[in-house]
This record gives sequence, C-alpha cells and structure tokens, in this order.
Amino acid sequence: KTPEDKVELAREDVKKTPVIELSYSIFFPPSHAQCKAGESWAREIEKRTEGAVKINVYPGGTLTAADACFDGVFRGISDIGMSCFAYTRGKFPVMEAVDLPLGYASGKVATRVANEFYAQTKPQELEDVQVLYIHAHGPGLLHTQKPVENLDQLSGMKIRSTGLSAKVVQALGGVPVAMPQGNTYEALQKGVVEGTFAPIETLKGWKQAEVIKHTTDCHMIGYTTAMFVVMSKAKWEGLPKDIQQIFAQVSSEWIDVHGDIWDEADEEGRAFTTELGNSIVTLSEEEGRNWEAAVKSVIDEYIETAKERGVDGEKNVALLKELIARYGQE
Amino acid sequence: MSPTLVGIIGIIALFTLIFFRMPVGFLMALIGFVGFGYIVNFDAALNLLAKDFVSVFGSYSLTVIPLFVFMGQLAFHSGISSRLFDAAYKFIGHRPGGLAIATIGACAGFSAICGSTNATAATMAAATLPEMKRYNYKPELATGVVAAGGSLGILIPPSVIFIVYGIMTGQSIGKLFLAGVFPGILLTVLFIMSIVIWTRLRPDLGPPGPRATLKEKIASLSGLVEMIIIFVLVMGGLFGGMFTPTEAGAIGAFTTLVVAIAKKHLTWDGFVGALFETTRISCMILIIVAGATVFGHFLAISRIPYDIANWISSFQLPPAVIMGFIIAVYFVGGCFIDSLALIMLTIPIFYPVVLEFGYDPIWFGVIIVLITQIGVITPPVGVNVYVVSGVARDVPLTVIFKGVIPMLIALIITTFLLIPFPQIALFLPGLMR
Amino acid sequence: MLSFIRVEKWTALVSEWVNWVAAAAVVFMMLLITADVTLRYFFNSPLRGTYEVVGLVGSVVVAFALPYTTVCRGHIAVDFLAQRLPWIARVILNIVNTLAALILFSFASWECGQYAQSLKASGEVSATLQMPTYPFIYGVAIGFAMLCVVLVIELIRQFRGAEIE
Ligand code: NA
Ligand code: NA
Repeated sequence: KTPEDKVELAREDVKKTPVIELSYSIFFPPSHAQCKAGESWAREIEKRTEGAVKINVYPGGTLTAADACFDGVFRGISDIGMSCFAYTRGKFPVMEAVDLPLGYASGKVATRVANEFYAQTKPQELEDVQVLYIHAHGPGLLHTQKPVENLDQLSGMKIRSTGLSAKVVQALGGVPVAMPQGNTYEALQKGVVEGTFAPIETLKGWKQAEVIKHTTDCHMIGYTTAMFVVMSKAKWEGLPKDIQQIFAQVSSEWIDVHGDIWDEADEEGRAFTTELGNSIVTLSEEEGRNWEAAVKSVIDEYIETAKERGVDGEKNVALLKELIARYGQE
Repeated sequence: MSPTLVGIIGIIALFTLIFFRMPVGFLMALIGFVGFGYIVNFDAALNLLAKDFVSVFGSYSLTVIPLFVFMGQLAFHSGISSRLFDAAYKFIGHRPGGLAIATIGACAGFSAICGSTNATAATMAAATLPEMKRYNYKPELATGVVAAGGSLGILIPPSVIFIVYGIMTGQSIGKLFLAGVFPGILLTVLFIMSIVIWTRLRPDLGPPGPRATLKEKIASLSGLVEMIIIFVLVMGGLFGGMFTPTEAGAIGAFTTLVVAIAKKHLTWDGFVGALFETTRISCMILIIVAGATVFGHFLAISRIPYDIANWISSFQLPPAVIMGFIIAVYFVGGCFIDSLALIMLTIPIFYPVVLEFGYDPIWFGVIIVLITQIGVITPPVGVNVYVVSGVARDVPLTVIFKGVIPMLIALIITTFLLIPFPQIALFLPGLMR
Repeated sequence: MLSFIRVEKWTALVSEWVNWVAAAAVVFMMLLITADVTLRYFFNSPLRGTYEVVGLVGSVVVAFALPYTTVCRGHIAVDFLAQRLPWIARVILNIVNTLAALILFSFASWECGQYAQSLKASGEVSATLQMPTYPFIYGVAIGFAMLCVVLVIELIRQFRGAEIE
C-alpha cells in the first residue's frame, strides 16, 4: 500500500463507521492469488454494503490453520473461513467426491462443477455453516524429472503426493511420498522424490519448474481440490436481509473470479515451465484410456467408503461426470 | 475496550506476570485464552485452546525437536562428548587456557550433532568442568566458557531455534542451517581469541597442563570416529538431499544408538536417562511453542501485529534505525525471557516489518539467534548460566556471570560484523540456489 | 496425614509410567522414520502414511510427557524475582499459579475430549491411511487430565505450607 492508499482508507474509515465487523481466515499465504481473490471479495462486500460491513482478513493461517478452519468458523474463532475440504478427510463424505480424478479440464470448470454439485446435493455435512461459495483448482498433473509417456515409465517412481492424489499416484503404479508443498522443491532437487502430482500452477508458485524437466498432461484423469468459503450460521442469520443478499450476489459473481484466477495461474505456470525449456507431453488418446482405467479403483474405493457412511457415492460420481461434461462444453 | 487495547493489556500482562514464576508456556496459553475469549467469546477461545495444543503436539515438522534432542542425549550418555573433549585437550592442553580452548572446540564439535543451546551447555558442562577443575582452572573461566559455548550449539547446525524460526516464517530450514555455519565458525574463533587474551592478562585462570606426545595425540583421535560418522551421515544426508530435517533427526538418533551399542559405550541406564531427558526437554519446548501459538492467535485477533507494522512504517524512519530498534528489543527481551519463547512471541510482530524493509529473512534469522544467545548468558535470566550452575553446584551464579563477560564481547563482535557483512551468513545458503 | 503422602507418591509413580509411553513413542518414531528412509532408498518402497503417523505419535510424546515433566518441575519459568520474595508471598504465588494452570488445563482437557468425540462422530480420518485420528486426541485429553491431577496434588502441598525449592 502506498501512503496515499492509507490516507484514503483512513478517510473512508472516518466517513462510515462500520456496524458489522467480520473476521475472515484464509489458509493461503497473503502473496497467493487466491488469497488476493478472497480479499477482493471482502473489499467488494465492503463497497456494496457502503461500509456497513467491515471484513478483516487473516491470511496464511494466522488465525486458524488450514485443518482447523472449518471448525473455527463453526465455533466462532473466525466468522468466515476459506480452506480445503480435503484437510479434514472423512468429515465431508459427499463433497469429497469433487476431488476425485474425474478429468477436470480447467479450474473454471472444476469451480463451476463444485458449486453446482453443492447446490444440487446440499449435503448434511455443510448444514452447520452458511456456504458462500466453493472454488477448485485446475487439473492435477504429473511433473517429473524423467519423461513419462505411459504407465510403464511411471512404475515405481517416487512422486510427491498427499491424501487423495497419493491414492491416484498409487493406482497409476507410482510410489507416493507425502510432504508439505513447501519442502517439495528441495526434495525434487535432491532426488528425495522424482516427481510431483499437482496443478501446473505450482511449477511457478513454488518454483518447482526449476527442478523438474517434464510435465505429463494427463487432464483426462485430472483431479482437483475443492475449497470452501463458509460463514458462521449465527453471524449469517444476524445479518440484515439486504446485506445477506449482497453477500449472496457478490459470492455468486466471485465463483468465476476464482475459477479464472486458477486458470490464469495454470497458464502462467505452463508459460514459466516452457520458458525454462521443460517439455509438456500430452498423453495419446489410447494411453489416456489406460490411465482412466487405472484410476477407476480410486473412484470405486470412494463409492465403497461412502456407502459405509450412508452416502450414495455412485449417484454423486454420476452427477459430477454429467456436470463436468456440461460445463466442459461451455 | 477495543481489541487493540485488549492486545496491549495482554502483552503488558505477559511481560509482568512472567516474573512471577508461572511456567512461560502455561502463561502464554492462559493470557492468549483469556484475551481471545474477551475479544471473541469463551466458546471460541476454548476451541482455539484445544486446537492449538493438538496441532502443535501433532505437528510433523516439530517432531524434529524430540528426535534431535534424543540424538544429543544419546551422544552425551554414551560418552561421545567427553571423548571429543579428551582429543581437543591432548592437542592444546599444554597452552595457557588450553583446556578452555579445548572446551570451545568440543562445544563446536558437539554443536554439529546437537541442536539445543541448553543441551550443549549442559552436556559440555558435565563433561568438561570436572576436568578443568582437576587442572586447577579457576571456576570463572571454566564455567563462563561452557555457558557461552552453548550458543554454538544453536548457531552451528542442527539448531532448534532455526527449525522453529523456519517453521514460523516458512523459510527453508536447510538454508537457515547453512547460514549458521560461517557465523558459527567466526564465533568459535572469536571465543578462542577471548580466552587467549584473557589468560594472557591473568595467567592464573588457566595454568598450562602437561604436553601430550604425538602418539597420545593420534590415539585420542580414535575417540572422534563416532562423532565424525554421525556428523557426516546426518549433515551429509540432510544437505545431500537424502532426507528432510525430521528424517535427519531420526537417522541421527538411530545411528548414534547403533554406534554406541556396537562400541559398548551405552548402558541400559544411560539409554533410559537419554530417553527421559528427551521427553522432558521436548515437552518443555513444545509447551512453550503451543503457548506461543495460542498467544499469537490472540495477538492476531487483536490486530496488534498489523497495527505495529503500520505504526512503525508510518514514522518513515530509515530501515537501519528500525532494525536497530528491533535488535534492541531482542537484546533487552533476551535478558529476561528464554530465547525460544522470545522468538516465538516476537516473530509474528517483527517478521513482516523486517520483510517490508527488504532485509533478508535468512540473515535476520541468524541475527536474532546471535542476539538471543547473548540473552541466554546475561543476567537476570541467563538460562545457560542456570544450566551450568546446576552442574557446578559449588560455583555461585555471580561468578559464572562474571566469567561470561569476555565471551559476551566475542558474541557482540560477531553480531556487529554480520550487520555490514551479511555475506558471512548468506554466502553458503546462496550456493544452494 | 500419611494418606496424602501416599497419594502424592502414587501420582508421581503413575506420571512416570505414563512418561514411559512417551519415551516408547520417541523410539517408535525414530524406528519408523529410519525404516521409511531405508526402504525408500534401498528398496524404492517407502512406508505409506509415515508422514501422518509420525505427527500423530508425536502428540503422544508431548501429552504423555507433560505430567512427569511437571512433577520434575521441568518447565521454564522466570525465577529470580520470586526467589527474593518472603516465604509467605512465595506460597501464595505458587498457589495462584498452580490454580491458574489447573483451570487452564481442565478446560483444555475437557475441550480435547469434546474435540475427539466430534472427530469420531464426523468420521474424520488421516489423509493417506484413512485411519481414525480421534484416539490420539483422546490421548492428549488424558495427558492434560493427568496433568490436572498433578496440579491438584501440588495445590494441596502448597496449602499444607510445603517447602518451595
Ligand atoms: Na547445533
Ligand atoms: Na539473559
């Protein structure tokens, strides 16, 4: 912020004393584009409510850590929260399906699918909070030091992956090695892992393009990670009706804002890795089908576990496939 | 009351109540809990308390602490540290103050496998104080050297403070470790110079010992083999990329254990002693980390860090003045508060400011380690001095504090050399790309 | 009051037993990670889920070492001012401190129990092995509860005008 900005903000502060002050915990670090998108959502709410609402953003887990965010909103540590469903595995048996390797073409598609899927299923697991919107990253792809054009070449390779992506890696015949994203650069550089499974934006965001050589564009099995933006039910119900409407309106507009930013990030990641002379291999149609067949076990396993929880996983997967096909064409 | 005011009251309460003997970790958690409850509500504060404790206790990155502590404890209980001292003594014991220099050398060596300043001081005190006493060294020299030598434990990798700093700021722990190497060597050299000058001025402090024969010298080196194996494996593996810091701790502890058992240097009692010391020290550290996390979340919701950062930058002072101010805070704080607790309290406040002024975060990590190491040996709260006095029960605290002064000068010079010459710290991590 | 002394001794003993669990957890972590690294390097087959198991076992280390560490007065506290106070002031100070800690950790223990229960109810599991995490949270709750017992004993000791070291 320039000093002028600060003066401007200070002036606005004096002009309108906010009546409703809300805290917003975002797990992304402040430098991340998705955190900035969340902040721009907050600023837009402030603008359209003409200062009746003020939202203090706490980025980088400074208020609640990624896996404590949802409960934090439920219990009132923060009023609003953004984090991944996947960080509390098993807590969201319905929404978990969105993350499956169903072949998301882009972040925009994944984001739209996730929101529509939520709107149609309205799962019980999210009843305790007010869901503002959901967003999800572009397809998770394979980035390696040695080229991977088929499953044989991937066999036995150590690939950084966690949670669901670890299952995908294993289904494809690789060896999943879990570690935080922050340690991956060093691990790739030193050969602790031979590749990583992630959306292509991480190649720029975490500089990993410097330590890999090839990307295998396996978007036909592209998985995603859905992220929620939720608000405490009590705080939501305390809002005047017109302000609730502004929240709903801005949130629905921000679905594509996030989706586009995910896609821009992926494009930048793609440009960055190409600039460094790394190659991007697209799987042949035939090989793509092999990969799809390989990850079917992951989807079946989800359906199986969901059944134990009394959730119709088969129906959810079918709905997701239909939505992916519909939004993929737009 | 505005949240900012509550935050300020919280900080004042902490820095006041801390003098009344409440364990530091408990106190931070308590004030954080009450303050958060006041600003938000009790139910949220309750949830925050449990979540923060559970997430700190169960953090993969923090398990590096028990593992490295265990490694150091095994090294102590299997006599690796005392053999290190023996070898150093054989080489320079015949010079005035030679034993003290040997102690610094042994501290530097031991630092390479131990990550804690208190553990290094405690270990080396137990191993070297009886020896120095035997050769008629004056207690002020002997204890002062051991207390100060502990600071090498934290500067030369591995280092618990670098790990905590890296985790809190998201900086690479590997780079921080590398950044500590040259300042650690520089400090070792300056410590030795201090001893040389001091014993030249007052030869009675450290009378020369008998000269060892070449054969004895060579024979003593065999005692170093274990330490070298462990060091090469752990540090080589860590920097050569075979494993992460947590893995390095586990491999290091395992190797130390295997080597000690193979050479029959470790008894069952020694093993149990090492284990119990490990759980105690780890628990002590992690309770502080957890308490600082709760307190940090309270500070965040009070928005004080943001206010302070804005406030400091609104003065438009030159960065050097602000850095001077931050250094002064660490120096004064270090005189009263344990360095680890101090770093965890203040990083959320100062780190963003330091970044905003364009200082290198790795360099800043080294600087605050140095400053807080000044703190661990200065009165009134000098944790290392307490540790040493715990071993040397017959030496009054005031004597140790007096003995620390010449070493303190070396620490201050090192710190001030790093300000105009940040390359001393940044050269090695720069190579890492 | 022989019975109090007996209770006190018994608490210290139980704390020590529980500390053995923490000690065993340290050894287990060390062995698990060493096995994982070895298998990864020489056999290209790391142990699945090491990452999450190490974190969960780590919470046992701290929680179960907490009662014994407190019995041994192993926590860092600033002492130099309190040392200069008269005897009665020190006793009062210790009572206030112990009581404050007791309240804090009673809340923490109760809330961790609630947290574990909610994890069990919502079916939350670890990321890779999909192993339930709630038993470890119960472990933390038990560690805190044990600490509270230690603190109650300490409180009684202070009320009886015990010597302070
Ligand atoms: Na060290
Ligand atoms: Na001090």
